[in-house]
Amino acid sequence: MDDNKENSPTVENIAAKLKNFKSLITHVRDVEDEAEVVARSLSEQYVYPETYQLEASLASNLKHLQEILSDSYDFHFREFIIAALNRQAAVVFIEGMSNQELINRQIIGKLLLPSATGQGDKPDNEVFGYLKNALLAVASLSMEDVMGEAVKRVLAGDTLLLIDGVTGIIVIESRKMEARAISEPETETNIRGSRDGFVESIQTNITLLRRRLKNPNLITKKVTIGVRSETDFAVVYFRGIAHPRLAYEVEQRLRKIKIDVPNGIGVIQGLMEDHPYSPFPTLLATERPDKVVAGLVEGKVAIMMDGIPFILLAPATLSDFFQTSDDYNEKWVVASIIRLSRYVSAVFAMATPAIFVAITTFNPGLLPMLLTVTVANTRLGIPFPAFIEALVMIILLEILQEAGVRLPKTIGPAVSIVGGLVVGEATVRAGLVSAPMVIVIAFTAIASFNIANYRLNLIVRLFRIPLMLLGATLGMFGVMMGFLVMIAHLSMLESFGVPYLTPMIQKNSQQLSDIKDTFVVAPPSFMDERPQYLTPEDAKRQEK
Amino acid sequence: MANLEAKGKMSPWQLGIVITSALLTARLLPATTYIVISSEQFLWLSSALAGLLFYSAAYLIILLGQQFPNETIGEYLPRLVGKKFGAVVFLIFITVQLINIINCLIAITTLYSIFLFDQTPRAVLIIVLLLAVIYCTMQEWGTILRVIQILVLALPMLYGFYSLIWINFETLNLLPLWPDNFSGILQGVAYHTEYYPGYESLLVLLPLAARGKVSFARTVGWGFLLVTIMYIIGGIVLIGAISAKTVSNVSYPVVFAMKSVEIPGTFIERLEDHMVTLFLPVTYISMMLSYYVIGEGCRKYLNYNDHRPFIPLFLPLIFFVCAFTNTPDRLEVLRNFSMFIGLFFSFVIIPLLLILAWRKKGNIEQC
Repeated sequence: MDDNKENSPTVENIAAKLKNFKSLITHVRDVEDEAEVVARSLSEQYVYPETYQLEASLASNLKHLQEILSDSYDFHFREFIIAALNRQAAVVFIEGMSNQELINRQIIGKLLLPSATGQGDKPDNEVFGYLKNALLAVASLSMEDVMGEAVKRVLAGDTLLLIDGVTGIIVIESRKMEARAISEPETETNIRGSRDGFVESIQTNITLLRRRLKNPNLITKKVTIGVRSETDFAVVYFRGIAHPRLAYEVEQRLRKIKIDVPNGIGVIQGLMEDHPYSPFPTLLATERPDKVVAGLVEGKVAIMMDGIPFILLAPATLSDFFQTSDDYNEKWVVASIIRLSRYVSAVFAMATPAIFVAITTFNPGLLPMLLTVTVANTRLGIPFPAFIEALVMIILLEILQEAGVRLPKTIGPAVSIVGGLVVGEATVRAGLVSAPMVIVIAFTAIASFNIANYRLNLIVRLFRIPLMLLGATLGMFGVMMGFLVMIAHLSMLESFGVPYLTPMIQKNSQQLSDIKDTFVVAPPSFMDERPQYLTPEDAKRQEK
Repeated sequence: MANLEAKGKMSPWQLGIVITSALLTARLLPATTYIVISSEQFLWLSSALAGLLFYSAAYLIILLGQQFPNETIGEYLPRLVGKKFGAVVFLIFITVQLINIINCLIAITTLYSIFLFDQTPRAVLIIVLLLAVIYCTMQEWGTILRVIQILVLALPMLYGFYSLIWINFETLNLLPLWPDNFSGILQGVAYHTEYYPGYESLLVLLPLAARGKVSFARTVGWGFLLVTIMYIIGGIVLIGAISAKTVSNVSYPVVFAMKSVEIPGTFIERLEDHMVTLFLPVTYISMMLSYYVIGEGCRKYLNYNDHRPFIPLFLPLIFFVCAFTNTPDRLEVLRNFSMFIGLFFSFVIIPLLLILAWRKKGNIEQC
């Protein structure tokens, strides 16, 4: 009975069968999609160009290149006959990375011309020499015997010339990439220094250095990092000044990095640093060529990365983060005061909220009586403890600062005004935050803007809250503890073997002279020696 | 990793700085009362004699170290006095260092509790300070040395603050100028173990110092001289400001003297609170040094690769003794014990060890 009922063509049964049928169709589509994915994955296997062998046949080599570069629409090749040799040939290049005018005029144009001497074909081993000496009007070309290398070169913007019968590929330098023009560095502006900053092209950046250091002893060593990206890096140092062991160490650490794709200089920095888990940076990133040049002639080593306008200087000590190019363009007295103000600002930016919380919560005795009474009066009616008050204001400040950085330049100042003035004023009027707290936080923010280096600024901001927490739980004792631990931590740090607190802390009396460019800027006539802590090969910088 | 710096070594001058910075701690604050009870207004004379006496002890340690260059006390003790006696002497040495840490901890935490109106229980302050000391001591010697070189800057700042007491100086308080109670002055010298602690660290630190043109005796001597001069001037100004009678009646005379300082026409008040905060980094140095010396001494004695395992080992003991010593009676016992063991170690054990070392070396040379 039941079977009959199930098979009977009732409306419910038909609906159920239709539903099953729809589900089946959906499944079939899924299966079809899956099959497509499997088919694609089989045809799009990860390619290892080095596994391909170069052959004498042009067709085979072109086929291999097509397999390697598969569907990439920017990959182009053009077949033609070299008139002078009467041989089939092809040029291969990547559109947008190569100089097409050079390819058209100096490569294809020249190769299509018939031989002036009327000579015929050459033996295979003489073809490269003949093209180099008689036909190709290009500055730099070479012969590659390995497919992997040839692919790397074409992906870098060079042009490959494949000739039938020749077991090798002629690589012609023809790189021409669109690049941002040299402009003023945005994160390190100055008043009297040079206005040029590094750009994304490593070659342009090297040129910016060479323009300032016209000396054959400026060494640039190429290192390729990135198993998949083959990103170009350069280790730059001044031979005869930089300690050879330092230059060697920088290069070795760079070569040891086995990363898939280095996404930014920060990743490389993290992999090279002596203390990657410390929040303090032990390599100085800058986009100012004058700063890098100054570092190089002091005996430091620079690390450049293609595609990034920031260059790392090694080793970097804490005092390096307080220096700016302008320090050396002002009179030494003025520059010294400005630099000292940066150190003071860093301490204020880090500790003022914590000290205020500690004093109002635990140690009002540290303030003069009148001030204590004034502060206490303003805090009357505030519902929150000083720590919460400060915490809320700091979080607000951080949000405003981050918003100011990320927003378009036209909107950034508006956000600051709304946040700083309107919200600040409103919170005080509403009795949520005391006026002294607003003053403290505003002062903290201004002090942090005086820190020359953005990364150091971030660290200072980072330490505000833990210090405040210590101030809120243990008073001034806690704040002092925080500072002691921080000093211990800073003393522990090293950058390529150089203690992070050098030259503030000296190893011996010889290093005493390094103090002249630490807290203050000595007159130029005193700057006759390079920093001793870098153990430069040539310690003398100028004759007195 | 490349290292352009030689780690774990210091110059003779750095050794001098280390020992100098270890001498001045918050321990001197309560001790001043006891010294003045005995020495009266001749605190300065007592401090001068103590400086001479304790430097002679440090000099004996340097002489002992010269007999065993590149070796710490833990390494040559078994050879010098045998394994059992060596262990006992080494234990006394460790005890001297531990007591320095304990005394420093008690002094600084009590100071904070009393003068900064801190509501935090003293035990919490002790444990936080101990953890901060441990964090630093767990590092290698190069790091510790750098920390000392930074924190030593608090010393002139502290002394600068203290010098404001000159404002209240009255010469009459120093009279009579000629001492008539020599026994009291000498008794006061003994209490100066609180004024000159930590030089025993030389027994472990000497091998870490590079031998150069300048002798250790000279650099350490300069350190002692500097600190002694500071104590002499400090003693004169303290008695001159608040009189010997007042000093002997208050628990923390230096802070008391500071309380009475007023700089008219300025905004600044209650300078004693600021001075108290400066005592923390100064005392931290001594604690850190003693703790490192314990770890390094144990490492060498037990032939370990690293000093770090020994650092947390002593934490419960230090904390327990500090927390337990919370009544005046217990503090008195601890003070007497630390004075006794300090003097016994410096003026009985060290000379004996030196004589033994000379005798043994003499025998070897004769052979």
